[in-house]
Amino acid sequence: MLKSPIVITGYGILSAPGRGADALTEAFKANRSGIEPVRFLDTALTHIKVGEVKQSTASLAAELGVSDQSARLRTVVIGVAALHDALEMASLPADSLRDVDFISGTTVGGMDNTEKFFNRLAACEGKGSDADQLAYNDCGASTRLIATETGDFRSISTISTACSSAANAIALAAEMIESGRAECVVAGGSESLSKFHLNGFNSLMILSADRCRPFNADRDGINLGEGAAYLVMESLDHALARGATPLATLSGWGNACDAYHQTASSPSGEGPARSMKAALKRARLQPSDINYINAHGTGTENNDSSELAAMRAIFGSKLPCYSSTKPFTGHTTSSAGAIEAVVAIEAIRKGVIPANLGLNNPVEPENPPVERTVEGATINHVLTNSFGFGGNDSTLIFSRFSNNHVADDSSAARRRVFVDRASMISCCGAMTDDWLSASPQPSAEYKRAVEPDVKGLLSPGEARRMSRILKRALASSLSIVNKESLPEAIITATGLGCMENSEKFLNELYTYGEEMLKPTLFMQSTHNTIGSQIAITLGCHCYNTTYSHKSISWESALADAVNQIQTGQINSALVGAHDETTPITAGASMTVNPDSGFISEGSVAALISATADSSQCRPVEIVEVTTLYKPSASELHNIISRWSPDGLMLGLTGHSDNDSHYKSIIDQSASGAYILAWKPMSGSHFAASAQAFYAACKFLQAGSVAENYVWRNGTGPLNSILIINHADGLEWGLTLLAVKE
Amino acid sequence: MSDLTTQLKQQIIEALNLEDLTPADIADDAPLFGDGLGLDSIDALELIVLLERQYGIRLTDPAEGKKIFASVATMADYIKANRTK
Repeated sequence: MLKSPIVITGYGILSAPGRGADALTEAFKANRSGIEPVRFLDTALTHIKVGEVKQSTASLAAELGVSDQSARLRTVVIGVAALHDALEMASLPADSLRDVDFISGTTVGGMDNTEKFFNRLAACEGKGSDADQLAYNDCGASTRLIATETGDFRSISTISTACSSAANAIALAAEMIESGRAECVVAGGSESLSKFHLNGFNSLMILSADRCRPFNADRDGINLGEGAAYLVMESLDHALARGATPLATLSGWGNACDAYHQTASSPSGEGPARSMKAALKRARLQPSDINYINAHGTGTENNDSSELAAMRAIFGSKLPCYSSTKPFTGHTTSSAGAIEAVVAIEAIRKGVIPANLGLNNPVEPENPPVERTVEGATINHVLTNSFGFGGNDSTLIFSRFSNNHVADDSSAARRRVFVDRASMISCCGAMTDDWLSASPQPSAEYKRAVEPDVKGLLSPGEARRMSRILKRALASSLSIVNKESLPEAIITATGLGCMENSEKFLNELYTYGEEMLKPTLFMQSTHNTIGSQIAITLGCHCYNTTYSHKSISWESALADAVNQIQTGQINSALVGAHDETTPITAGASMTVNPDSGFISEGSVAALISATADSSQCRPVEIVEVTTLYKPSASELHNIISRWSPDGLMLGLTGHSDNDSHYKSIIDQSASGAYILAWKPMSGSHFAASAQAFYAACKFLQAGSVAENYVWRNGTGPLNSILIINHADGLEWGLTLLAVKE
Repeated sequence: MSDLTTQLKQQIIEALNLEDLTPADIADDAPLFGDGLGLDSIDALELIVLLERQYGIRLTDPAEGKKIFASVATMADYIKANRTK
């Protein structure tokens, strides 16, 4: 059987050397770096150099004509520029996006905005006049604003794995197209500089005062950069059917976890080697087929030694030609994977191999990187690496377009997916059944999750640095998986990530100024800290990614896991939803959105598998997981009537603004169907729908529901539950669970 | 045991979240890094923050820390010689 290759039909980029791929390629040819002293970010760290986009946020926002809210967030404005350019190149007008999905990678999100007023907000526990701005801090908020400025995509989602975010967004898009879940996906990432992460990297003492010199013996650190890039990706059949021109092919992608340390790469380069190997295997290429490697090459000694060790492990003693383009762009962190994807595609299309700018004393004289930019080269395959904190390592391989359909050895029949085990830590209890008899909570309150006892699960040495959310994530995960039976994927959902550490680091910034701040807080402030810490503790090198998109973070993570099991790539996945709320974020939420019920936090970990646990008399199957952006009422009804579940579990809170979105669903539901509400028990936080998943699994196993969840009682047997959840009525998540027949 | 040494041990325990230890558990001459307390490069950076905030000593090169942070005794000696507060 043959399948359609995944082709790139457009791309947009904005980075330090300028807007558009031509600006970047011309910079390569002219050896013109975008690294300069800080001009646009308001920072006291003026001695270091950065790769800024050379335009103020206000000026770019005015040029693009974005809303006042979008204009406040540099990540959004930069992202909009790159996205619009990508869609224009691919001839996809704004009104043609209804069948197109959008996946963006970011970690900074709205932090450059948050850090401007956080001290005022902290002083009044989130309840002041700036409360609404905190609603734009999360990663998903930036993606939503970028989408709002563009058009009505079919679905939108956000990946946050620090410096590999955009590479993972592109890989996810490829998975969606390859599995037939999507025909056309726009994927990439956007990241602006912020005082927060500039000072974070400063606390790690790895910022360079000069232009960075990766793979040079005298390198002394990185230049942070900013920028955005997006690729329009589609199946070749889809591209040809709409008359688009294929520009290149994404032939391989790989993701692995170094599982070594939150900030340092392993000396052996285990994670990078695994991600490169996986990408080559997927592309059905031999190492000798690769003509150019765009290295991660940040300019630290640690990255150089780890990446070179990994390259040697894959390519042998003679490496293909390679370079790092970070001396041109700076390290654009979450968008780097997309920016360097554009470098790869341009290399193939224009025959330009970019120099490793500033090379004079290579670390490996026998294998030096590209000294001068090469023009007129014939490049068929480019491998590009992106490595993130926590060892979230990803590799993409782009190839010259050829009209050959490739052999499809995946089994045509989709495998079924079952819930093997699950655990939950909520406001009601830590891995207990207290939630079954809990009373609904009044709104306008903030309740923390019960803190689990981690003694026996984690040694004092392992636990000493962990914040509350990490201990909760580890406790819930280690209760269902262990080192002897590792999962084959670790997929995490979190709306706010490690919020408590982020706040503590912001507090440091206000208390001590832009001095040397506590590195431990920064190291454990990214969203992927959670998933990578699980991998580090377990010693698990498998696929590892993190979704951070508002209330559909959980559904996005679950859909990824289910797809990989259905298509036979893995047999099991640890899927977790972990959120941490603080008095400030809770105060802001209650101020902005008094309709959301009480504010909470919690953790759910689920091991899902291709085989049903034979010890369960009523094993639960995950039949379908879907996320949608701005679906019409009829689209929702069509899905619900197609699935005709025995029960509907809805994100009702008892408050009209929120609940009105569910009204027509309830009105049109079958009269005997159970209507269940989880939020009066779980409370509201971004990943709260995972608690609905947990409860629904328990109800289906028992064949009956707990009284405290009943909104409207049903009649008849309970063999299927559809969980429906929305974020401000815009993003919707639907999960159908059923007892295995 | 000097006052500075005891105070320093307490500050190290707090800065590195070594909650299960007391100052008495850390010998003056025992290596801080390596197998001893299971510390890593991030802990070395935390000790740089500690020197700056508690004793007004600013290190700009993390490599300088290697000798200074060999043990509590070497750290105390360095502080005595270089403290500005």
